[in-house]
Amino acid sequence: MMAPASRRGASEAEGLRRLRVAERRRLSRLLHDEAGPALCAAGLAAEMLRGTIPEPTREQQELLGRLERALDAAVETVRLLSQEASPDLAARRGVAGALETLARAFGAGLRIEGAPPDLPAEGAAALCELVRDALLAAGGGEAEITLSAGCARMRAAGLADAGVLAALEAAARAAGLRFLSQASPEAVIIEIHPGGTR
Amino acid sequence: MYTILLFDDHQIVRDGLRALLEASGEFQVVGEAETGGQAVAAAARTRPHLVVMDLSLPGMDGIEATVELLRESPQSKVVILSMYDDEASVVQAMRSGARGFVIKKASRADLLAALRTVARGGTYLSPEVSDKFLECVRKGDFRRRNSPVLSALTPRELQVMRLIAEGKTSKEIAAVLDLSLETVRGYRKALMRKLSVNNVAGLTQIAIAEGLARPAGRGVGV
Repeated sequence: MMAPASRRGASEAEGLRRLRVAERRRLSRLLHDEAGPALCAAGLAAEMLRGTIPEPTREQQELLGRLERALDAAVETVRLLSQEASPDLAARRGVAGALETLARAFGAGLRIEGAPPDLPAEGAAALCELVRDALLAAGGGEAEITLSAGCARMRAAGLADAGVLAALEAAARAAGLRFLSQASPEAVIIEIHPGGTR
Repeated sequence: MYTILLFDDHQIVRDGLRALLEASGEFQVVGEAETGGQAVAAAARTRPHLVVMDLSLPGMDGIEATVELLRESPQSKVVILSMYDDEASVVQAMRSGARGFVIKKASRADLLAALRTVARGGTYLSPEVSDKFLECVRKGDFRRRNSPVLSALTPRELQVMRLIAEGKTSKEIAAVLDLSLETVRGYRKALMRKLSVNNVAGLTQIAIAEGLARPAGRGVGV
């Protein structure tokens, strides 16, 4: 039986988690629905502008080309950020697809060794959220994710914060996943397995 | 000259598309729409050769609008223009009857290539999504809209579930579907009972996982 203080703490943590999810959903939607289309429209306008200059100078051509490339790159970034920020990424793309998106967004390496762990939708979403949180916590440090049938493993140079590791472990436990971490001088390795104890 | 109907809820995008299509000299824009209802009505009226349709729209989404529109104007060919590039969106779009799927970009070359190909009777997928689509077909693992999980739901329940997944309140859903608030509440309870979930987050997860709703998009996002 959970003590009242613990119950209150768990309820507050759940409330904060829900707020965080709502904020990410809002951000993802704004990127997708507003920033993306606006950049696309700007790109189309830049192409139209090119058509209005009958004989562009070399400098004008170069400037327009630079503008178009910059807008194309910005659209791609917005698309990736919109997907990565979405709390529904795993539901949409499955575990392997979601981790592929996260790896691209955070510049991490990804190796897929066979089929991903067999998890229900909630577990799959929690696993991807844990990997995302770990990537965030690792900051700019190099990270390497390996996905296999048994677990998702991540090796990251910047993931040495004991508080963060404890929070990840608690989140994994709450989601019914098993979380292991192991520190070495160069990096921390975390593993997320199906079948933990809530 | 091929006639085109533009369907996107962003005026700025429609303006850009209209300008570039008309400048090409190959296409004539015969109508614009920003809601599914407007698009279906405009297609029935103008019978365009081509329809350029956004996937993520308020109310009726691009998939539903494609099905409705092709019922009204079967000779029209739909090209989906989308910010999404995931496998499920492409599969759903092609299954709904679309003939092309183009990723929204800041350049026009892909769109013009798609429209030319589809107008001549072909099918076009942006290079960014064609590999993913083929991989889905190869593995046969793409999600089915008529999934066993959703098969117990009535068409009206599916509509309500999609709107819930979009983040709409019962009051908003009642307004969109022209139902009473109590009726919508009844549908919510029935959905939760049938799908064995006890909150909106659970319904949303199922809606996305089963391909009924897409994450993060206007109108269809959750």
